[in-house]
Amino acid sequence: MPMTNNLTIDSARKLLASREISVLELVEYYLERIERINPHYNIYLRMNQHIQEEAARADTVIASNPRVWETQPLFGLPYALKDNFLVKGFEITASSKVLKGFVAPYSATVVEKLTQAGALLLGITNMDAWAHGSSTETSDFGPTLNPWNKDHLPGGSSGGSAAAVAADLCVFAIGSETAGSIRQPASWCGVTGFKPTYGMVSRYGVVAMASSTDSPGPLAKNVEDCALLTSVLAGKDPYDATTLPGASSISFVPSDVKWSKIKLAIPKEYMSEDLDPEVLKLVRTAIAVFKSQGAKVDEISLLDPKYSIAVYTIVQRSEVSSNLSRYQGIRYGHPRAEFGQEAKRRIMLGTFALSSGYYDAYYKKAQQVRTMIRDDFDKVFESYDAIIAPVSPCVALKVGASKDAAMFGELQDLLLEASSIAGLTGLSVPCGFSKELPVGLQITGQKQTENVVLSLGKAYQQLTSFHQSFPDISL
Amino acid sequence: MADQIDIKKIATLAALELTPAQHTAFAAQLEETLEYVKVLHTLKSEVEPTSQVTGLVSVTREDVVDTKYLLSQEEVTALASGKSYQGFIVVDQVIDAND
Repeated sequence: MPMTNNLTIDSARKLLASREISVLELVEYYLERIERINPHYNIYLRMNQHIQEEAARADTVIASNPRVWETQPLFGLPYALKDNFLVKGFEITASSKVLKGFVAPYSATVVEKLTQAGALLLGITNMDAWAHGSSTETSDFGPTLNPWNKDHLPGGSSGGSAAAVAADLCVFAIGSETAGSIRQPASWCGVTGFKPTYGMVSRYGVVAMASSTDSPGPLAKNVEDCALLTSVLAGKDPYDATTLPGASSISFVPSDVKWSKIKLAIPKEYMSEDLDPEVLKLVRTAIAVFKSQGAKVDEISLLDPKYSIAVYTIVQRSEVSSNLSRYQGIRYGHPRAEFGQEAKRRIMLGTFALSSGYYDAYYKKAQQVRTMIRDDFDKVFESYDAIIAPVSPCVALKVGASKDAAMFGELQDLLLEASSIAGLTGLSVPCGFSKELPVGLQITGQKQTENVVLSLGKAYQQLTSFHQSFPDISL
Repeated sequence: MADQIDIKKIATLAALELTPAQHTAFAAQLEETLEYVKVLHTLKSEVEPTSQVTGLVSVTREDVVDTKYLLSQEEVTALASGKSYQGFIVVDQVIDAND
């Protein structure tokens, strides 16, 4: 059997198209690894019990239609799905005991689109319960461990999906982001993660967290895969009124960068001395790569991230308290007593912020500052193509770090929250290692400028090889 | 000092039952969080609030039934695991006999 390790979408398709491997062999490669690795890392919570039959059927289709990828670009490719996307007939729990045993009666639009594109669902990955967190440590089904070092966290909330890509337990994975939940675990696990513009990908059938910023997106082995996946996922959806009218007609294709025309902004508030000095050093080295190609790079000033942390904390808790009010254990799921500590804490603060007498002081004030954050970005993007910064202030923290920290997630995502509040698009690409743990670089663009961000990310990956490093898991 | 939170009242509004330990922990943690978000009040923000960023308003779709997304009564009651009766969902008593 040819080399099947760390396959990208393109390399997997080539092996399948040339019949060097079958879909069933590819699936069995992952199943064998999952059986060996998963018990030690808790990445997948549940597997698709029918994957081998589906793979065998896919092989029959390839035999009769060797050009199937022209119409179904993900045909026969096994993927991992975060535990907050509904899949008809599958137990989906948002990694909370409240939904333990809940069998989804319909599928999320994202899942429908992946199925139509021919992808095969391998299994469901762990996450922070209700996506409340940046560690995957608050899952009611135990923490996921970082494939680079088991003593460390994978980040979150899409930590299971990021770890599944890093540990080579799928070709690609799907996650969702409210403020950093794709990009931060991508950074901590050393994979490529992409957050499309808010409204580009449908939220229908995704367990709601903060509806005004929830954005599904891909985690994969490189930028090109993220671009292709975004083309599959994006689109206007009649079942999600916030999807953008033009979303269906956009092709997400990274193109060659005309460096002399590129202007990049480095916010000085995002390069603060409070950050891990090793992270800062690696990001500066990455910036030098863009400069060496001829890009114009300027230091700029954005609103201090402490304001976006405060806005996000109020807006997110408020939307959470509203979204989670539907879980009363009557029509489905279990009673509210099953909510974990973190969900209860967030519901409590959100309920307070929306309660009579406090609404103006907290919720309305936060929404006004949100306008200022959006305007702040608009001004930058009048003159610049993208913003470059670290994804996370540090490398993956140790297991136990999030315990009893009421604002753990907010502080880990302080360099990402503003972009989520403003609905921007952003990419996390690996840019080096510190203490043998990966570091991520964020490339953030104005709303609906995915192709600018993806092109810069692809160019960076052509000039570097950090995205081709994978942890050596010897079990 | 941030606004004093009436934890008991908020828990009632949120339909959550808290243990005494949670009550104490949340009181301290919520005060701490509110203390942090007070930073917002140092900014002058005489601007319109933003509740969503797409700019889309009054989005509608054709008023047609999509049968693909319809669930049967059986499918719906099956979700209420073991708490359905003859095609209906069983709910807890909410009105006391003495009310």
